[in-house]
Amino acid sequence: MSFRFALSSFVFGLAVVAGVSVTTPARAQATGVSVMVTMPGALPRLDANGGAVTKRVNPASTEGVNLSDCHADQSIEFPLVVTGFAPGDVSEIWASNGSTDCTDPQFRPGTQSVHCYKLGSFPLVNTTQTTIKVKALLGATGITTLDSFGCPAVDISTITVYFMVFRGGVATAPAAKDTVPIKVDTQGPTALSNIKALPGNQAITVSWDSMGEAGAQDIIGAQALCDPTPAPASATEAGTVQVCTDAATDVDADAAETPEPTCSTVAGEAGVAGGPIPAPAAIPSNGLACTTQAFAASTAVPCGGVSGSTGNTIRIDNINGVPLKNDTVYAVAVAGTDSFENVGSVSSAICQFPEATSDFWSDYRNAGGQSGGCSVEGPAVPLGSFSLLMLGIVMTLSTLRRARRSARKTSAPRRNDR
Amino acid sequence: MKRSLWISSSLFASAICLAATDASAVEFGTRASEHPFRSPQNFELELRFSPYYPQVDDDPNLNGARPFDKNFGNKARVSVGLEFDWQMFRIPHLGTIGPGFSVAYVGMSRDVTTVTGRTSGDSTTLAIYPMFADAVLRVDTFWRDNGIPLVPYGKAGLGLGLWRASNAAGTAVADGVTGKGASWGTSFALGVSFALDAIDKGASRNMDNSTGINNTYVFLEESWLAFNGLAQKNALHVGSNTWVAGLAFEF
Repeated sequence: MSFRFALSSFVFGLAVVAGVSVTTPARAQATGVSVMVTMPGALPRLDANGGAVTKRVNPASTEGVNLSDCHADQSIEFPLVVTGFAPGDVSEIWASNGSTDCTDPQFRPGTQSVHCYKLGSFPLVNTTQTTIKVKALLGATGITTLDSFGCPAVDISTITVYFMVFRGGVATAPAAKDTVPIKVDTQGPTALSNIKALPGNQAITVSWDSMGEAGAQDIIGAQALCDPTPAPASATEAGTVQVCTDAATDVDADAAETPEPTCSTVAGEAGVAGGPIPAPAAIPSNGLACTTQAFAASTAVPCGGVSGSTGNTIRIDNINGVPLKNDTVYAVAVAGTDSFENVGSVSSAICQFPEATSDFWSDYRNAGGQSGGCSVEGPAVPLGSFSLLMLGIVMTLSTLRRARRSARKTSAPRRNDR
Repeated sequence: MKRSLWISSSLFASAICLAATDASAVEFGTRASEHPFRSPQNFELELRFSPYYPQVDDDPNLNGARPFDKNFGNKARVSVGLEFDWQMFRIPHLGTIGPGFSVAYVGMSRDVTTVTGRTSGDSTTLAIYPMFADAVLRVDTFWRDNGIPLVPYGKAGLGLGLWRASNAAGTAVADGVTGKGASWGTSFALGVSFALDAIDKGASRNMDNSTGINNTYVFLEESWLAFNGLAQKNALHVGSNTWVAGLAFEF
């Protein structure tokens, strides 16, 4: 082996390791193609109109997909850098749920019970980006029962997206690939239990058994839902669901577009008729279970929340900014929220009415007490008065200390160091 | 009660007058000494704990009604506080005298019922911040000069109790009157401290050498906080006559 050959081999090897496109040697052209998704941990998220979306704050789900992302028809943008490609090369995007390896041709699309799902392709240029709809991504879960928005119910799972470049036919292993894992979770926690609704003055305090006590559920908070005008539910309040064909069967889809599954809307299970809304006189301290139209039709409105997995009470004092009225019956329920901010199954609804309460201050004033009357609202601790008092004391102490120093200087014997 | 306060105040004032007959002997603070070793001593810090039952229901305007007892029951709550004293003057063969400042907190809360008697999710709260500035005379001659580890002391001053009544919606309001304010009054206390240094004088000396803490005491005092509206027409009676126990450090 000549020295020149050895040197050129060494340089070539370095170039391959560094991912640099080497154009002259024929061997380099065959193996030097590469594809890379830049910023895999900070992928831009787009809304249905292509506008930028502010992501969730929770780091556990910032890059993940939840149900509201799917309902909003969001897309994920993947910035790509492709090098070393040649005429005739083919790009494809595939996704798999779990550990299925999409570089293995038998899973694209394959007839296996577990297989990969084709999401489209990307342009073979040096720098580009491609967007994938969240709904298409969720299609890789293989779940064909969708809600009215076309979104499946997925408990937490990881979809791996494969960006592959083929040289010599797509039935072979890819010449280059990059993968990005995307966490998906479109199912909220199960319904909270043992719901109670206690009356308060222009308020209702709803409570439940502590969330996630056994640590089995991913719960980071709870949301209260209210029906401000409860009416008895009828049996016609049943919802609808969509049933779709497997998106992966759409193998003839244009490689440049995301294939959509074929769906049809079918009636859900028949709703359960609710009894009459109880009168205030019939409602005990803990409230009374009731089934209202709003809860049966899932149109109850959010009216409060609590964060953390240990809180188990929410005080509801308004619904959409309208204060609750004493002696008016409302229906309330709660649902847990998970780290993907999915709202879970709604608990059974409870009817309750706010009622005036007595407290120490009203009892004191009603009994003839005359004190009070500071009209300026402030923090819970009377910091203003306290600060003034402290300032006065500090000034007094400072004055006394100066007097003490002055007295010491006067009385101290003069030192003569010479 | 008032008679005992008058007597204790008189004794307190008399003790100061008698002790201060030789005015030139009174000096600022307590200087350090080599034999026995003592670092300079100027201040005292007290950690104070006491049962506290405010005298709200003693308000004559209530005509015998007991709204506090009705809402919070008849058991005292625990008050936690701090007192900082400047032992500004040392009176030879008597002790120290100087100003002090104390602040404490006591809070009480209970669930309330609706007007028809149903259990509710609301609660009622009263928070009190008793604080006072006073003159403190500590007779430590028994301990410093005779080795008897007891230091009787007396305090007299003026203070106030800042208070706030709250409910689930925040600061309570009734008849358009907000439930917060300040009640001024007098404060008196008589107590005795036990010098823990007597248990292990060597350790005490080492602590003084390393941290500058001259003495450590446990103390028990009887306290009369009459925060019932000094020079105020209508004040919530948030004072309390109670005992206080705690730990004190001189440095």
